[in-house]
Amino acid sequence: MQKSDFLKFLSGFELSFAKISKIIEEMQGDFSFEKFIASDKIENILGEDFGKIAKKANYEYLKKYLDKLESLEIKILTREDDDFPEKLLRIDDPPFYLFYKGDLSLLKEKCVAIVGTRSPSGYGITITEMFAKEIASAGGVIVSGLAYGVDSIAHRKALEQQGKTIAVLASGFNNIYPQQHVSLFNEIAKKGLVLTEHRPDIKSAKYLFPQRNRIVAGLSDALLITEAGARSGTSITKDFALDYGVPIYVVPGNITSPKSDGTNLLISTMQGICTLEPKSIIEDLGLHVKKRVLMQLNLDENEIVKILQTGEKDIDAILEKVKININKLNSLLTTLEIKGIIKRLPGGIYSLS
Amino acid sequence: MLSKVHSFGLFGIEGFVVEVEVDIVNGLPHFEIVGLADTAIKEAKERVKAAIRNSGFEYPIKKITVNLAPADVKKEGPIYDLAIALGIMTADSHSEIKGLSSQALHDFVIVGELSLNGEVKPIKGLLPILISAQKMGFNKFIIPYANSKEASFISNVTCFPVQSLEEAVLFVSGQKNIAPVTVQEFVSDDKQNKHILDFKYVKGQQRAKRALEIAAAGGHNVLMIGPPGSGKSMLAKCFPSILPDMTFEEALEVTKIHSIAGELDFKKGIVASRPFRSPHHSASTVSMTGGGSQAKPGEISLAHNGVLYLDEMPEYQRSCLEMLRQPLEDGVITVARSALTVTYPANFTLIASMNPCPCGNYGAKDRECKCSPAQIHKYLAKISGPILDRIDLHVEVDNVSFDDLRSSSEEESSSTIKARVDKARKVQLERFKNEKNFSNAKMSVPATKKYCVLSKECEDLLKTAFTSLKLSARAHDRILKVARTIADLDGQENILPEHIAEAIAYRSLDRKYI
Repeated sequence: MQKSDFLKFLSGFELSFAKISKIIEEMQGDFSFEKFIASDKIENILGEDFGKIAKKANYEYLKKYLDKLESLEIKILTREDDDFPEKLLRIDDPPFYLFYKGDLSLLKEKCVAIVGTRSPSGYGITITEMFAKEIASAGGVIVSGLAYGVDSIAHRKALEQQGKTIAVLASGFNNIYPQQHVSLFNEIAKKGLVLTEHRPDIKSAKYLFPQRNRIVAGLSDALLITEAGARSGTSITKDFALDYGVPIYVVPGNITSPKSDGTNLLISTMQGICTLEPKSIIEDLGLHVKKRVLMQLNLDENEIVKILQTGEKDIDAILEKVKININKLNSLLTTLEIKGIIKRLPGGIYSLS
Repeated sequence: MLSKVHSFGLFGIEGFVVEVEVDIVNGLPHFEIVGLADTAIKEAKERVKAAIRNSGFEYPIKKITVNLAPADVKKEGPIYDLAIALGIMTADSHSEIKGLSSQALHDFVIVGELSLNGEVKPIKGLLPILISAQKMGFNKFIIPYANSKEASFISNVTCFPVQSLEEAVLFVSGQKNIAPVTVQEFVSDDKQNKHILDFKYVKGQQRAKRALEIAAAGGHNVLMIGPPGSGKSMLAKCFPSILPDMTFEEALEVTKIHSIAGELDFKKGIVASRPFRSPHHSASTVSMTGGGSQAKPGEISLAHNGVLYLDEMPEYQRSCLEMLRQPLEDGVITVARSALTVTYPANFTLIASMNPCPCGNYGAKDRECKCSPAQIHKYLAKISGPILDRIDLHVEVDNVSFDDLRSSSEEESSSTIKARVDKARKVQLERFKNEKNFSNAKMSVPATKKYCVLSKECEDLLKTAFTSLKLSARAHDRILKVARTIADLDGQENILPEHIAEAIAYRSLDRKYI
C-alpha cells in the first residue's frame, strides 16, 4: 500500500500528531495492513484504541470510508501528495493530511492571513475591510479561520471583490463553528478553499483552535493583524508566525482603546511591522495595487465625504454640519453607500469605506 | 302574573336584545334566574330584593322565576338588575304602583346595576349596546345616570338617565318627568392640542423623528433599535401627537371597545384622543389578544385606531409576539374559545423598541458592548422573520450627547410635522377611495403593483442596492410602500430615486447586522 493511502486510512481515527508520527516510524517504510495489525509496538502506542482500529484495518473498510467522503464531496490531501503546499512543510509539525473542499491551486498563490478580535470596533471593521479589499483585488489570497469578527469580515470582503480566500477550520466540515457562518463556509467552499485536519463529524473544541492557528500561520506568506486586544487567540497565531519566519504586519490603533492593546503592543515591541496602508503589504509580496476608478460625485455628496474624512459620525452629527434636511440626507447617504464610498456601521454610524 | 322587559347583552362588541321575563305565582317563596346567566347575574336576586325593599316598595313573598331570553346565549355582568327589579314590580299583581304595567315598559330598553339601597350604578359597555340597539330599531332607553356622558354622543336615540330604582319607577309610571340626555358635538382632543409630549422637546434624533413622521403618514409600523437611555420611549410617547385627528366614527369604535373593557372615563364619556397602549413585557398572551372566560378585549384591541408600544420587544413572550401577526395583517383579532368565537377590531400602529444586544451597547458611540456575537445573534433572533416582515421601518437611535441636550436650537414642533402628515393622508384617502385599505402600509400586492410604479432609474437603483447592500428579499415590498409614503409627503405623484434611497435607509435589520 502507498504511504498516502495509509495516511488516508489513519485520517479516519482523529489520532494526535505524536501518535501518527510514531506509527509511521514503526511501519519502517512497509505500509501494509498486515504489518499494522501484527505490530506490538503500535498496539502499545494506540493503547485501548488499537483493537477498534485494527478491526477496521482492511481494504474494504478503507474503500467504504473514502466513498463516504466522496459522497460528502470532501477530498483528502496527504503530506505525500504533490499538491501538498511546501509552505506547510517548513513548520515543525506539518499535518499528515488535510481534508479539503474547493480549489487547491490557491495554496500556490501569495497568501495573506488576516486575523484579529472576534468583536471588532467600528475602526477594526473599517480597516479589516479596507485591507482585505485591497489585498484581494491585488490578487492576494486571504487566509483566515472563519471565526466571528475580523476573520469573517476578511473572508466576506475577499469574496465581494471576486477575490480568493482560504478558510482553515478547527472542526470537521459537518460541524461548522460558528453555526451562523455555514452559508459563508459554503460560499468559500464553492469559490475558494476550505481546509481542516479533522474528519467531518468532529466538533470543534477549545484545544483544537491553537492547532488550527498553526496551519493558518504556516500557509501564509504574510500575517496581518488588524485589531486585537491584549489577550486573544490572535497572539497564538502571531507566535506561530514568529516561529515560522512569516512577516507580521500590524495596523496601529487608538492607544486608549482596549481593543487595540494587542496590536499596539506588537508594534511597540517591534514584533510586527507597523502598517499604515495595504500598499506596503501588497508590494512586499510582489503584487501590484489595482488602480481605483474615480467616481463622479455631486456637490452635496462631496460635502458628506469631506465631513466623514474627519472620522466616523452618526447621522445627527452629519446633519449638524451640512445644511440640508433629513430626508435629503437619508437618501444621499444611501446613494453613497450603494456606490461603495461610505458604509454604515452598527448603531447608524457612517464612515468612509 | 307575567311581565316582559327589554334589555341588552353583549357579544364581542355587538349587542343583542335580551328579553327579561318575570313570572310570579303563589307558592313557597323562591327566586330563580334561568337563561345561562353568569354568577354576577345570579347574585342579582339579593341586590334586587334589597333594592326594592330599601326603595320603599313591597317585595312579593311568592315564587318568582326570571328568564333571560334567548335562553341559549351566555349573558354576563350585572347589567340586568334594573330590568329584573322593574319586571318583578310590574308582574306583582298586588303592587299598588299606579301606571306601572308591561305596556308602559314595552317601549324601553332598560339597563343598569342596582346597589342595595336602590341606587342605579353605571354599567360597562353602554355605548356598543346603544349603537346595536339603535340599528335594531330601539330608540328609548333607561340608563344609569353615571353613563349619561357616554350616551350623549349618540344621536337618534332618547336616553333617560335615572339615579335610583325609585326614580325609574316614578318615571315609567308617568309620575315623574326626566329630561333625556342631550346630544353633544364631538371634538377630538387631538384638535385641541392637548398633548403634553411634543416633538419640540426631543433634541437631536432627526432620523428617528423622520421615521416616525413617515410612519404616521403611511400607517407603517416602526422598530427603534438603540442602547438604554437613548430616548426610544420618549419618541414613542410623542408619536400620537403627530397622528391625524380622530374622526367621530373612529372615536366611537374606540369608545365601544374601551367601554366593554371597563376602561372608559365616565366623566368624559368618549375616548377623544388616539389611544396609546404600552403593555409591560410580562403581559400574558391572553391579556394582549383578549378573551378569557369574559371574552374581554385585550391590549391590542384597546390600541385600536391608536398606537401599541412594545418597549424592549425581545423580552416579550414569543407567543405574545407571534399572535400579533394576524392583527398586523388584517386589523382584527379573532379570539376563539370553546364556547364562543369573538372578533375584536385591532387596527393599530405598532411602535416597538429594542436594545441591539443583551447588554444594550452594541454600536453605541461611547460605551463598549460586552456581548459575544453568538449572544447578539440569539437576541436578535427573538424577533421572528414574519414579525419583522410586518415592520416597515427600522431606525437606529443612539444616545444624544450632552451638548445636544443643552443646545437651545429650536426643534420642529409636533403640529408642524402633523400638518405634513395630514397632507399625505389626504393624498392616500383620495388614492384608495375605491379600495378596502386606507393607508400605504396596508396596500395589497396588486395595489402595490398599481400604485408603486417605478421608473427605469428607480429600478436600477433598487437593483444595485439589493446586490451591494445585501438586502433580503422581504425588504422589497416594504421599501416600495415606504417610498410611496415618502413620495406622498414630498407631494410627488411618482416615486423618485431619492424616495427609494431614503426608504432603503430604514431597513437596517435586513442587512447583515453583525
